[in-house]
Amino acid sequence: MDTYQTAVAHNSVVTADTDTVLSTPFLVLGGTLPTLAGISCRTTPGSACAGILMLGPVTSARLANALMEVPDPAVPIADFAGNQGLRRDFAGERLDPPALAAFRELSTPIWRRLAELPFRAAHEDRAELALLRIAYSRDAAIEASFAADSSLLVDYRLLGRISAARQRLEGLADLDLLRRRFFTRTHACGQCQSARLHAYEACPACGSGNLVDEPIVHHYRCGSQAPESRFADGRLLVCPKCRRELRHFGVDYGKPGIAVVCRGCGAVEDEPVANFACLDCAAATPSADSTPTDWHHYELTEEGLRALHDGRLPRLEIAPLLKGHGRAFSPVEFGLLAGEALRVARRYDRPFALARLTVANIDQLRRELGPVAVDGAFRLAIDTSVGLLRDSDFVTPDGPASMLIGFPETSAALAAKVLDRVKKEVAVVVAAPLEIAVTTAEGEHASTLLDHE
Amino acid sequence: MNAVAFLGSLDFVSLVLLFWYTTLLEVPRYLIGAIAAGIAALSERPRQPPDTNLTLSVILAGHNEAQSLRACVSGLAEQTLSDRNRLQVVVVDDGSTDGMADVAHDLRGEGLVDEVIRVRHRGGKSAAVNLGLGACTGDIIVIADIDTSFDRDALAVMLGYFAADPRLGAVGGDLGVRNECASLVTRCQAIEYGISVSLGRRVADALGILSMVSGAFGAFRRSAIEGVGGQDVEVGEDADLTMKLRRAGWRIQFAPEARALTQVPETVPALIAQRLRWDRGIVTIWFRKYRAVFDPRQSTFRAFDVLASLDVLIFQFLLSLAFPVYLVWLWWHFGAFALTLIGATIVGYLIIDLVAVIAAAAVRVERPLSMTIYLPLYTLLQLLLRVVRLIAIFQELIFRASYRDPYVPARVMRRAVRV
Repeated sequence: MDTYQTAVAHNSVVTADTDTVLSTPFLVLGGTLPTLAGISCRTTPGSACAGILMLGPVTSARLANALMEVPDPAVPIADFAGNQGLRRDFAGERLDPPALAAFRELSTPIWRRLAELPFRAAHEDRAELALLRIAYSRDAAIEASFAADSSLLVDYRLLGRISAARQRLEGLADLDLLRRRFFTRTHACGQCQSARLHAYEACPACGSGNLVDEPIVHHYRCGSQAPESRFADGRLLVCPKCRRELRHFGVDYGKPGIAVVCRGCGAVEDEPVANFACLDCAAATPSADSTPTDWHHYELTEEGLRALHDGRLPRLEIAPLLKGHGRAFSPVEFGLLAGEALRVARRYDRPFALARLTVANIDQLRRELGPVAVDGAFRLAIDTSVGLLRDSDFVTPDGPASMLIGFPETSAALAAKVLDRVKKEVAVVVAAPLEIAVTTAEGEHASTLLDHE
Repeated sequence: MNAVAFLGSLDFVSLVLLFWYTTLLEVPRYLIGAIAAGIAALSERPRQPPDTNLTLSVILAGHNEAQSLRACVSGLAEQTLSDRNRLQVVVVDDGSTDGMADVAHDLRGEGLVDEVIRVRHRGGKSAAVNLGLGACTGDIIVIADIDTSFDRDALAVMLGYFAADPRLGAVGGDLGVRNECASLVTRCQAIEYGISVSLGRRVADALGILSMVSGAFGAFRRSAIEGVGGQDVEVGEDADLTMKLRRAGWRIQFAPEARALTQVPETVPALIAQRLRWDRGIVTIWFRKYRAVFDPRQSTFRAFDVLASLDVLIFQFLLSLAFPVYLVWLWWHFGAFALTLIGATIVGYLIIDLVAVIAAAAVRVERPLSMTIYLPLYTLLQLLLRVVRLIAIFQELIFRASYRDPYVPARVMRRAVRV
């Protein structure tokens, strides 16, 4: 029984068997261990915990560190110290039996869902999978909302103010693991990037916000046309061109439209521009120069759920997949190895072949089968391909869906035969219809592939 | 040439006897007018904004005026009134079927109209104005036609008159022709408005006998118009209201500086139809309804009211009736030579009209002098309109034709008080 099954079990009997609940540890941050009966607590985050209790001031960095260390970063969090901007599922004034009971009642469905899907994640995917897991365990969309005290102006209450939340969520949405729903568009200050901006209409000529709408007056007799203020002479309208009085609307003159007149520089414009004044640094930014950011709500997709089951993200990049293979090298290392092999080939007239292996239809398959399914097939194809190479062969990533393979002491024809066998084996092992394209070159021609690389 | 030689051989008395209609009836009228115009020119009031807190309400009542309403209201929005002289615009849609109410509601949405009142069945101009009166909150009520547009300071000028004289009940604005370039007929009417309205009403005002505040553009003190019960059901409801105010003791003035332009008929048939209606009003208003002004036993008897009515009755009513008599007299005494004398009479009218145009220019009436080229046509058109007036007078005297005029719906006119 893992941590959550234990917690759920304890919670289910919380009113009847306090002793059992005592054995469920909570991680306490920002305060001393409570002396409350019916609760088991500790302050070190290294091992499993049923939840986090913030009993005093906690910085976002400290919470983030703790969540990195606990086995499951999606555990429910209770805040009893009024910490602002941090992720929390429950807020109370003080930790007492009623508050604890309420927190446990709120956490019960979370624990149940966490128990249904144990958390596992590759280290590099942990932060992203934690976001998916929070959405899954709370059975809720990750809703954006306005936050006036945030320089971004928008935050995700379910997540708290974690750094780069939007970028991570967008990355997950790009992988079809989350579904976007538009919330709003914010604009950022050109100087400090704050989104707390005041929008105002400004003169395109001088940037002043001191604008006024004025009717344009057209004096029919002499053709003079200008804002009304240029005609105003006390209560009279006098043409600035011919000095005649305009007495009769529709006969002497007309008003064909409205102009925007700047009281600062006197410029007459058809339309003002929109400028932003930053509430944080007071800089003015023309709307055209501001950086727009679209904010979305996010909902977990079936693909996202599958990614949680798999414990990794379908990145569809070959580089991480090659890591760990004994024949895989970084591009720099590969360049050195290939250069040396070419030097030997030239000097001793030995064969050396280079090949590029590319999964050509990866984007199409991703659209058709979904990223997680394709990720599995892609992973299997790479493992199969690399597994069939000799110990002396060496590989390196060459773009997201292709790799370069060096074949020392091998002619291009022989390398082609090897790669043909690779293609056949991949077709047998991988159910998805991957199209593998192969380019081979030998000797001096091999350098063209390297140059490309 | 014989005719010219004959006329040249006559002495002054013989000429007067020969052209008695013109010399006895027309010349004195213009002579008095010329003198009064001179007085008026000397006593011209400068244009200046009024120092008053009086507020204004404008009633725009009309039937199927959707096309004109926006231009009219836009002109009101241009008025140079101060913030103290708050302007209220009340639109009354008198049973329109052309979407006038929709236009009015759009204008209210734009903040250019304050009140929109709509009646589904047309009740006539008087009833519509009376309905609008109930919604007015201003101290001064301006009644205007929807096809009228205003000089920017027209309303401010009118306010100045009311502020200066608390006994003033109504002020008539000056009217010009907005569509004067539409046809020869409209050009002639531009001359006519210059002479009859701009000059003629100045003269009447100077003599204290102004008997008409036009329904196209007139302003009324609220207490005055409410005191006389608003407008009555008449074909000439504006003249009727003016006379009611005079009889109630209110002073009436003409404001030549408060200028507005109005649309006039563009064809001869349309002009004749309009003038038939107007001229029937001469009979109904001054000959029938207000003949009591001549009764010195009445407490409301005033000499200036008598003069105002005489001005209309002599120069419009009797003059018209005398014209056919003069023609018959000419034919009786001179046979075919009468045609020559009629031609000479027309030339005489042309000269008189020219003098009137010059007089109008002297008091800075804008248009007529620049349109002198159309003066011969104007003179001939005036002859035609004399005939029209004659017909209208007979129609009204014999058949009471104004009570069948479509200007007021028949169901309303049937129930109207007849005089």
